[in-house]
Amino acid sequence: MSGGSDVADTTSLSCARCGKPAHLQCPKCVQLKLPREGAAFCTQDCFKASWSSHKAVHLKAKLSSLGTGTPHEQNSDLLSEGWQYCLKKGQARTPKLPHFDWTGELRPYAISSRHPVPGHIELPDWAADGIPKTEPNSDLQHVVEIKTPDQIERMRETCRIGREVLDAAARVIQPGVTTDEIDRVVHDATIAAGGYPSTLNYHFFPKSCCTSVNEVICHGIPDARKLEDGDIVNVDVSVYYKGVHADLNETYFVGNVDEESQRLVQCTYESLEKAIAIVKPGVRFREIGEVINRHATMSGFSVAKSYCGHGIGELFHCAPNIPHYGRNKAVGVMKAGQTFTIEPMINAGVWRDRLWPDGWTDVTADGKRSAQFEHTLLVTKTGVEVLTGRLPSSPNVFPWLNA
Amino acid sequence: MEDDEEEPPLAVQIDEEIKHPTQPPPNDDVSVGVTVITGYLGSGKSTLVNHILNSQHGKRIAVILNEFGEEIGVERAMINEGDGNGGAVVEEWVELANGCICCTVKHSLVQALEQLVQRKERLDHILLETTGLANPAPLASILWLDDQLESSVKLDSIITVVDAKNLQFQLSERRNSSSFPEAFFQIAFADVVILNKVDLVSPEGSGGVLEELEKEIHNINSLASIIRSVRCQVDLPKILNCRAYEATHAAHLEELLEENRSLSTKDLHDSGVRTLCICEPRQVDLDKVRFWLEEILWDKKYGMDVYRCKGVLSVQNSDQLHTLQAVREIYEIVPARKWKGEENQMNKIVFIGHNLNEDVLNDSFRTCTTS
Repeated sequence: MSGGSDVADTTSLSCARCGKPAHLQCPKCVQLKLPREGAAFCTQDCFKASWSSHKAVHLKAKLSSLGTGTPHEQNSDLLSEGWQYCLKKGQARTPKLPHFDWTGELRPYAISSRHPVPGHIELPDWAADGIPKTEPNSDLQHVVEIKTPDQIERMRETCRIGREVLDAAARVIQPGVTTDEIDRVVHDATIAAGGYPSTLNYHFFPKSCCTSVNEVICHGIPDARKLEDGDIVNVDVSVYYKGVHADLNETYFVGNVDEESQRLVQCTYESLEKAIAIVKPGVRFREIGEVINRHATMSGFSVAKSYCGHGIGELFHCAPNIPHYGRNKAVGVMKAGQTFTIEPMINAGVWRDRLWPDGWTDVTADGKRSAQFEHTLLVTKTGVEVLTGRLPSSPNVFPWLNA
Repeated sequence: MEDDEEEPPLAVQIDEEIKHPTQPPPNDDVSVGVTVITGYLGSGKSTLVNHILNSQHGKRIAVILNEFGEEIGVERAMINEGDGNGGAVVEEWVELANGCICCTVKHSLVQALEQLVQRKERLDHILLETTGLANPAPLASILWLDDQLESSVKLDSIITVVDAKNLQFQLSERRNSSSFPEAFFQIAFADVVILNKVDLVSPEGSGGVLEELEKEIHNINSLASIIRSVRCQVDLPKILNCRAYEATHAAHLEELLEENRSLSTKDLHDSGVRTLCICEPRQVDLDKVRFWLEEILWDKKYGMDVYRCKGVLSVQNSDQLHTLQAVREIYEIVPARKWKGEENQMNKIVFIGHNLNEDVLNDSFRTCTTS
């Protein structure tokens, strides 16, 4: 089933007026970089006939790019309190909204100041100056480690904490809550368990988790924006405890979410599930991408290709690199004792991405939504152990699990 | 154009491919080739680079001088602006994206090259000059991207510049028993070898010295094409657009299929780095071939160290000629084209490496044939 063009770029557009196959587009929409859907026509005549109603789309886009008044008002109070926009991967701040040709409706909001970490918490080597030292030069970037029983035991513990922290975040999600507040919950819960939130100051990342709303594929920075009814939001938690890391994420619904988004999120969940199902000694890392790609494209979605699953343990990110797309050249086969993550990012529209001016937030190029799920896994002699798996106490937030 | 115009404008044709808002979708025609240029200090590498930068060839070429690496985070780039700017050469800095390299698919160097391509109106080619790097393999691994990424850059070839006057000496130099002089790696991984300073070797243009040197080079890597030069005055078309890592590139396939060409070489130096070719007329089971190759490349079975591997496969239940290509542990097998009616369908695989054993390779490959 895989093979042939896996990329979900080939859409068959229909004329917005009469429904016949369309090969013409409104040039104003092209200029304003508006989506083709609803702006495609089969003939100049159909376009002409639709013009008076169609051009309202241009006006709407113009207004939207100026910034809708209300949401940013909640920002201006905070800006006066010292909250600022993030730039340069976290190394700089600015009081003004940066310039960018935003791909969707989401905008960055100001972020709060850095949260302190108590002295008794064991810190990774980037906590102080933002620069990992051991990780980039380690042999473990080229060789996949087989964990010792002791390391495995520590990872079980740390991953368990990671799961509990993520669950705590899931419980506070509702319309009106800011992603900054979610980050606060994650930060406090991690510290309370005795761990360090691995993302904090990792290559200068300013917060203790990533919160990725709607068109954000990954690495969204928690800020002052309030979640809105209908949003989807991914929370990505990483914990450093007893010298090892855990890494997991889930995408949640905020209030009442439209059917297409529900389909997207469920499909993403299933892609991860199917990928995990093939994990066992002897399976090629390359195969993970085939499984995920097959499931995503079957549902009409695409797979984000810029980020991959990764080895994890005493290092946050190490070998192997596990792409989520098909026909990749990933090296190696799974062996018992290896620990790594699988974290597919599935997009409703195109697979391509853009990076925001903050240097971290990765968004879909077409502004359509993206969902993600992630687990840290251990390969066992006969299969796999999902170290970050859901617990009986985990909140019931995925309707399909009840079916 | 005004918002509230009464008359609709003329609708425009939708292209087949969805266009990225600020970046056209790269395909074979659009992606820029990257050539890695390696060679000893004094071989004439810099002369080659200058020659390419300064000659009036009308092409826009950027040269990245790989001087600083990730620690500093920038590289210097010299760009020949081509016809558009009268062939002027400008200097620019290319910033390497810093951070989270470990969960991104593309290395920071690739991202930097892509940004360079995006910034420039048109770039015809990129040269990456290595400095102080013995082994071009790590660079090749980074640059040999999955087609799926549709990157605006692609690895075109690895070119090694060797000094005709000193090559013999460099090849016989031995650091210690377990390592090879860099010259071996640079030749083993090369797609093109520029044999430079030929005037210093045989000023009268006679004598078998150059032929001997070429034989030495081919003994290590019989797939590389050798170009003789004086002061690296090389014809650009000969070294650009080699498409050496393109699975379906026709020229390489034809070369491999040439029956009368014997590609296995004897081990002249006590080096153990040589080229070996195995042939098998019967069709093979693709799954078995993958396992067989992975055992050699990933598990180092039989104690062989394979640097490069290139081949054509005759696959069971397929009318497609499949190509095989490997650099160190990274490999790819893809269907390239239909076998032509008159072609002698067979498997032919070339290995370049150390401790290669022809019998073992032939015998083990035979187990991949369908019974």
